Amino acid sequence: MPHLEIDNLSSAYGPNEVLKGVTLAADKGEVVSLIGPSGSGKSTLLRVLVGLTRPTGGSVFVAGEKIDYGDRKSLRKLRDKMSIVFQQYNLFQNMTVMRNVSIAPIKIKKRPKAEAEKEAAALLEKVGMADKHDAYPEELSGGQQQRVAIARALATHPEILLLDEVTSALDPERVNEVLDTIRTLTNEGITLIIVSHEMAFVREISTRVAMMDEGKIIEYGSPGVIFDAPNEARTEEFVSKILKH
Amino acid sequence: MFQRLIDEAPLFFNYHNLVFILEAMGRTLGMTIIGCTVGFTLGLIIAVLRRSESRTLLPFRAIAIAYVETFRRIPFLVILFIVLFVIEPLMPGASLFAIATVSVCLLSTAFLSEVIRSGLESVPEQQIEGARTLNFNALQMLVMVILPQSWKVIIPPAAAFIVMFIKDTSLASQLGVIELTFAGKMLVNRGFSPVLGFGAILICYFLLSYPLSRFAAYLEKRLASS
Amino acid sequence: MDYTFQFAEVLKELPYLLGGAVVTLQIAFITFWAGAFIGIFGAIAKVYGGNAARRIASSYVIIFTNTPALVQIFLLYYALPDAGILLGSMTAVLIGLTLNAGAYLTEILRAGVISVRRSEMEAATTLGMSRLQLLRYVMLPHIAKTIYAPLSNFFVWLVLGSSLAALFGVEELTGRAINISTANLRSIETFTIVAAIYVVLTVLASSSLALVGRWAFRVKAKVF
Repeated sequence: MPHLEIDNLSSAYGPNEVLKGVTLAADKGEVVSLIGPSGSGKSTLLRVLVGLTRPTGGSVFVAGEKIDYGDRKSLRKLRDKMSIVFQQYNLFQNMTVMRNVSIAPIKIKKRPKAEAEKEAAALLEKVGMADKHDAYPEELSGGQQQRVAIARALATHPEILLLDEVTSALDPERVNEVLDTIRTLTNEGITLIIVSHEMAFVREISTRVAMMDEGKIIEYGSPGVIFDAPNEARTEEFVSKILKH
Repeated sequence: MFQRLIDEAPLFFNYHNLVFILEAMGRTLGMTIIGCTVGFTLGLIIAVLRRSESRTLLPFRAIAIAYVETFRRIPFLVILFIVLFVIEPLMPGASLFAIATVSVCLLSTAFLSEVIRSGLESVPEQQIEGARTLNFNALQMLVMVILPQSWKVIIPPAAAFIVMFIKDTSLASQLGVIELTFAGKMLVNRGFSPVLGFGAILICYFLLSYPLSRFAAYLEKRLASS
Repeated sequence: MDYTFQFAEVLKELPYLLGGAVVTLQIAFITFWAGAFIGIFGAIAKVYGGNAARRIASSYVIIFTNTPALVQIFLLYYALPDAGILLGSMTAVLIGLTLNAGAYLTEILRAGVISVRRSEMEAATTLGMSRLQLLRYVMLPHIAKTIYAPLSNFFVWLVLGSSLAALFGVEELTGRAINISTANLRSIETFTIVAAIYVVLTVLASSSLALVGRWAFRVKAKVF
């Protein structure tokens, strides 16, 4: 049974149909990357998955269970298992790094403070931010903030981690430190859904790649196929333009 | 005129008068502090209510909006009169101080709810999305993420409004509350020169208001630079 | 409670009350423009004046904005006779409210004056504009746009503040309300209707000012 199953998912913003029937399945521990031109709906797909934008049709199943995006309880259960990291890091500006990472386990999952902070420290070490426990987000660079954001998303032990263009807002020099961090996540059994423009990276770490255009997935396959021998003309066009850089 | 001032000054600044003025200042402060505490509390509730999108709360939201938009557009003097004429028949023993304080509460709630509301709205949407995806409930979001970040936007204008409320309490003198302005009038009626009497009262108001005004200005500068 | 609301009795007096509303607007209008006159001098003193002028203007603003208008008017009303000047109640109120308004307007106008950016003025100068052209084409439009909204709000605030005049016997809106309610004893109804008139007045004033602003200055203003 696939870990994450998306079936004919649609989402509309007024008269604009942003997602037009997206179907996708990912197995546990897979790394699925979404590529495609701007406006193709990649970020919207992630936002709909985590429940920030309401779907207007279709269904989503996590480990076989259907998600009811209109029901608060169902959303809570979903967010227990699914975390998201945003392009704009979205760290809490009024909290230190340690507090940012530990607050959800302490206040939402009700874990004891000492335990949660110990885990948070381990996660921060893992993302390379061990010496910044007491710093505030405004004191950190974009790359550092993004790594803290990843630690924060991991603190709730998600089964599925969504990464929405997490390097797009960073200085080119900072991109690699974040990519390195993501790389370490690929063998931990977490299902990763990544939206990214970093084609070389996508090609390297993905188990499957989905090409999106105008709200639909037009091709879904292994990186080898998508990048070297795509079946769809649109995929070929996009990939060749991007890889020329 | 100046001769009169020089003659009267020592008589004016005696212990009895000073205590009298201080007690009156206490009433001015009392009305203001109680009014602002209630104003902040109810103002916060109204601000949160106005931001919510729940259907069940719609009638309350409508009442809140009507209340705020109305009471911001009525002179405080008229509010005082209305409260007086409503409470008097209902609670004949009610003190004038209480009536005046209720009026200040009505006024401050209306103004402070707007200040708080724009403070809450100033927190970027991304902060709220981050909290939502971490499964924060509405109360946790408000207390742990939104409020801590809205203080800096709320306090400077709020301080300016508190100064306005201190000055508005002078109208309570017309009801008969023995606050600073009434005390001034009484002193002048006792025969002291108006310059001494009202001058001393002006200084008292100044001592109450100016520190707040400076504080608000200082905070605004700090906020603008950060 | 045995009280039956008799709004009809008050509504009979509506023309009288509306006459009071006109007086209210007149007071607001006079104190606004007279105060603005003071405010221009005050603003210029604070921005371009020497040390003495700056200090005097600052002290004026600080004193008049941190003390109640009511006490300021009391001081004028009761102290001036001592100095030999006898003022009618309307005059005393107008002078007091004007002095009060002048302090706030000094600050609003000052913000306008300093809002003109040096870079714009330098650009205009290097384009060859004379000082008069500079004033007319760069400074004044910019200042007008910056201060229009605060001035509109302040005018509305003055409309509400004019109610102070009632305490000195002036027959503006609140004053007439007091007259009516002492006569017909229908206090709640009277003051409720008067409150409603104030709300209507201020909404009309804000809306018309907002419309004028949008048309004349392309300033987007919020009414609600």
